[in-house]
Amino acid sequence: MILKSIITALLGLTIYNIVVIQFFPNVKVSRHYWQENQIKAQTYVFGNSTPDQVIVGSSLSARLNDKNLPGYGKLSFIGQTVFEGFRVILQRKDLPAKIFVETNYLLRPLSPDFNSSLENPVLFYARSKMEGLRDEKQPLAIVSNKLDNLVKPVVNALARSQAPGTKPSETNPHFENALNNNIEASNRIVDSNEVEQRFALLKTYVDRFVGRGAEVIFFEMPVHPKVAACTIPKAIRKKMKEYFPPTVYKYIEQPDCTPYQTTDGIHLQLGEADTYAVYFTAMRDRIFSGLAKEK
Amino acid sequence: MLFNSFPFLILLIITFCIYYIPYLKRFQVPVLIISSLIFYAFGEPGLVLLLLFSAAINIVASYYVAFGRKEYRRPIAITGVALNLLGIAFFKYSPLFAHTFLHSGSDLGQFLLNIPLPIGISFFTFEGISLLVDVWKEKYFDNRKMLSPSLSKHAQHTLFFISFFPHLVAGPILKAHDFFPQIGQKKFRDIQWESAFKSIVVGYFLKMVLADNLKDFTYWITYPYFEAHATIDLLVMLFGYSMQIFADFAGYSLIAIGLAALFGYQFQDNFLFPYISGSFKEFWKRWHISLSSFLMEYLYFPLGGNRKGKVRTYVNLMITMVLGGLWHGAAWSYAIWGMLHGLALAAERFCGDKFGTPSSSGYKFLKGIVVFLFVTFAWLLFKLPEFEHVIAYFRSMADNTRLTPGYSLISSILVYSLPVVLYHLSYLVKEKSWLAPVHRFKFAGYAIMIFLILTNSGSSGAFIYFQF
Repeated sequence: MILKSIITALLGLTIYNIVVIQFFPNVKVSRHYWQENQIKAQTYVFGNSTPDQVIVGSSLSARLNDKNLPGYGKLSFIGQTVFEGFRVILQRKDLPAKIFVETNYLLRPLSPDFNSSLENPVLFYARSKMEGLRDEKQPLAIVSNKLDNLVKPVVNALARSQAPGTKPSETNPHFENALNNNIEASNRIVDSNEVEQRFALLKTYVDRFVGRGAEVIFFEMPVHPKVAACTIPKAIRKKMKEYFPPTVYKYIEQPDCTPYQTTDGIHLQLGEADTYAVYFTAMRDRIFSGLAKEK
Repeated sequence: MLFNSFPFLILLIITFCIYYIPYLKRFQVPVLIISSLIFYAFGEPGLVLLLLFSAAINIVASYYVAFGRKEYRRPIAITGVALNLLGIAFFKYSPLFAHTFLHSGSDLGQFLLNIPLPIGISFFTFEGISLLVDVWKEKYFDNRKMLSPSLSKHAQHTLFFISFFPHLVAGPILKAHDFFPQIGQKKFRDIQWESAFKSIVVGYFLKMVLADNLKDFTYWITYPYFEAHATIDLLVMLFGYSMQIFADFAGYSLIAIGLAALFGYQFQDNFLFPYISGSFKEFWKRWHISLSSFLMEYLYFPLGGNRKGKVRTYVNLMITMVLGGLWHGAAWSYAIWGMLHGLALAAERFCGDKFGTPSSSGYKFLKGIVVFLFVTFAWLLFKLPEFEHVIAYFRSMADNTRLTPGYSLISSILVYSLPVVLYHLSYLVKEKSWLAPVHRFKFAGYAIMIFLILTNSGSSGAFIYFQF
């Protein structure tokens, strides 16, 4: 019974891999944010080539639409920091030529679990050889994805639902609540030792990247003006300039936040994300065309 | 150390290999003790000292209760139990005391709030109490036959009983009278491979595939995120959480049972398909059996149980359930959770005495649904320990009827909950004759679970019951 079960399972795994590679090579299903993060990381690590430019950040820059930033690798992980992204970058032999580092959530607690399965040598090897073991190909996730269309009419019949669509923040009854929570979180007192340790860690990574020939460009995502004026964002800006002087390091400065209403105080609405992507691209071009002229 | 981590796998393999080396068979117990201490020390090495200190109290107290002078047995046993309770009160309930009675800015308040919670303290404390009471009462075994008269041997056995890694940090709670008789040399050929395999596969499947995925969907029950979800989302998430907490804890217990079996030890079942229960009493005979039977034997019966009249029975029931609730965590919401279950048990008993219990299957079925709904809604107090957040959740359920439901959230929760539902249904129909041919293909069920463990595991999360 034990042997039969194990052999059948391994046979199933082999068949699943063949089916996945042959018939569904482009299927990528993420059902929750952790899975979405892992898929991004695995796509980067197991991709055929290292992208030339990579954005590393949190859920704030995860809002940026890939279509507006073609050619960029994106390691913006929901609920995480840039440090998890740095570890992913270091898993490939080659570094990207340019690394854009979001600075908004530098002080968020690090996630010890995020990189553990990616960095596990056994899992890494298995996933590099068998696509069926990667998060994007989880069979139950694929099944539940297919179920969405079946669930929709049933749920609609049960619920007195509004037409689907993103509610604008102005009419979202929870916007004020969410904004206030984010203002409160951004005004909390932070241990100065922890801040120093975190910036020292950032410096270590940046020095390592620069030492290996990559260019590091810092950027701060726009947020609601009230959040932008809070103590933590201000403290981060100040520390950034201390550790990474603008005379030496490149910055895409945070734009004027007044037009950005956001969905909850920190995350851009879809249209706002598009607007910021245009700004981001223009600023990047200005930085590098300036450099080209200097050269 | 987590059961679903690579360091644990390595520790397990090494321990298993050394354990069954014939030349070292005399050292089987010390091998397991060392392995268990490594397992416990992996996260926070300093807290091993507390585990050893707790074990030392129980070693000395139980030894002198068993072999000391007769007139000292009672005071030593009481002192031992009191020291166990003081330990758990200090480490687990000091923050609750500080929150409730002290100003958080005061020095004492700050000190109490910063006391670390040693993982597994609720489990190994209860095991120590079980040893002292069993030795004192001698209800289940004769001390002179069961316990070694050599203090060092007794110390070894007691430390092994308390620290054996499969149950150390999240149970099942062992009772001395179940475990001590099993201590002895084990042989490789006596391993019950099939039952160990089944427990381990089902356990890992419940934990890694179901609970670890469901946790990322039920995450949105957290305050304030749930406020932005539609009523139907909130209901489905609560259902999902009910499935998750079962999968998480029953999964852990099954893994523990399977691992113990690999070393020749038998733990009793900790979960017996609790969501099929037709009454609250039955639910507590099926859910976390090692805790409910502990509370029954070591608290409810000593309080007088149902032998001292109806009023005392209800009072004893409420005391047992409220303390059982508080055992789960240092927050008043856990006491309220226990109280709600106590009230349900008392009401059920009262109605049964007054009106009798109808035996029709329709009644049983309906009552089963009521029990399930009650239990599921009560889990909210586990997920949201702040009582005002629980109220806010119910308010959102009432207010958010017009928000757009999250279809993918709902379908995902249904898909990952379905195996738990099927698991319970399989128990209901397992004796049916029409199922006999299917039993030949049981291996396929285990194969599917192994396949899904390999391809569909969620993010590794700590077991929910670690916090208790």
